[in-house]
This record gives sequence, C-alpha cells and structure tokens, in this order.
Amino acid sequence: MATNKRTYPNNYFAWYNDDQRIAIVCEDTTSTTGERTKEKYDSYQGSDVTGGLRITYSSKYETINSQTHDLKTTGGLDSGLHSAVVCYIKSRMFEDAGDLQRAQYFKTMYDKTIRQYPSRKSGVRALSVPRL
Amino acid sequence: MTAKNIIEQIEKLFGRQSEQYMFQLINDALDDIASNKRNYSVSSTTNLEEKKRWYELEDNVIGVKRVEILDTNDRYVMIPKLADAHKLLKEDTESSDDSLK
Repeated sequence: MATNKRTYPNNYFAWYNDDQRIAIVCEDTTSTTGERTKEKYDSYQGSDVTGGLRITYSSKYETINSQTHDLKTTGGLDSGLHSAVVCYIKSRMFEDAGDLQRAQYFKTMYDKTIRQYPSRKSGVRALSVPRL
Repeated sequence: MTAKNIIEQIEKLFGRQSEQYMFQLINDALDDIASNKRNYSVSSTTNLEEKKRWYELEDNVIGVKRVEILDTNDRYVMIPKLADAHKLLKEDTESSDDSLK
C-alpha cells in the first residue's frame, strides 16, 4: 500500500532528473495482470500529499534591482564574495572599453577571489593526513 | 555591501553610468558566481501528487542537491537518486515522456 511506502520513504522512493524536470518514482510492489509497466519503479500511486515533496537545490542568487538592495540580505551572496562582484564589473567595463589588459587583470582578481573562497562552511573539507 | 556601494565604487573609476546597466552587470556577476560556487542553497516544497512522474524545476535551479518525501510521521526523509534511471526504466515510457502528466 502506498501509505506504507511513505512510512519508510527512503526504502521505496527514488528520484532522477533531466535538465528541466525532476522525476519521483516509487518501488512497484504490485503485480496486477495487464499492468502497463513491469519495471521496478513506477510513478507514485498513493493519494496526494500537501507539501509532500521537498527539493533542496543550489540556486542562482536573488536579483538585485534597487540601489538599497544588499548583496547579502537580498541577494544571498556571502559578504566575502562582494569584492568579486566589483572585480567582475570592472573587468566587463574595461573589456567593453577595449582595454583588454586591465580587463584581464580584474578577471584574474575575480577568478582568484572565487577560487580561494571556501565553498563549504560545515564539515571537514579535506582528509587530514599526519606527516610521518 | 549594497548595490549603491558597488555603483559608487564603479563610478569613481568610470564616471556616471546608467543605473540599469549597473544592475545588469551586478546580476551577471551574481549568475556567474552562482554557477561557479554553487553555494547558495534553497529548499522548496510542493505537493506529492498521485500518478505524477515529472515535476518542473524552477528557472533558478542550478543543481538538485537533495530530495525528501514527507513521511507518515510528518518528517521529511531523504530519498536516493537513481543514477542509472535510463537503464533501470528502459521499458518504461513514462521515464522519457509525459504520458501520465
């Protein structure tokens, strides 16, 4: 029964995705004659569940369209990366002006800031191997 | 740092600029950083629907990190990803089209 499957969702449900959509499938434990699919997984057959699906994803930052918007509170960008935004804009503007040397300088600064800024705030980032 | 602070820094070097152009560049920078760092996580909930296989992803989604189902105790439980769905569901037409919904 579908209700039982939701008792232990990680035993029955699974997901996969393409570029635009995410598919939710459920292990098919029935063996009805004439069933359309005989695959191990099928679409969820139980009743609708309000708020029954939660998707956590890496997202684009929020759009900035007012001078009072803060890149951290409105945009969601860590304050440590704010200087990268300035470097990116300077690079683009020098590029538009045809000054490729300065554009490259600020592009390098931008890349360096992005590369060096830690992408995780939790957990161990690398194995700690003692020197022997 | 506010957008005003950034615009002031840029205008010190380049002079007066169009506000819309500045916003465009700021948002371009944010999109570029988001695609490189992928460190801005957002969760959204939707209804789990009967016989519905495919759920549309919003435009701001860069990559799906985690999918959870609300269990019968009203707790969200993470479910695994099918890494080889194309093999596992190769005879299932619903895996590749919208035959159900």
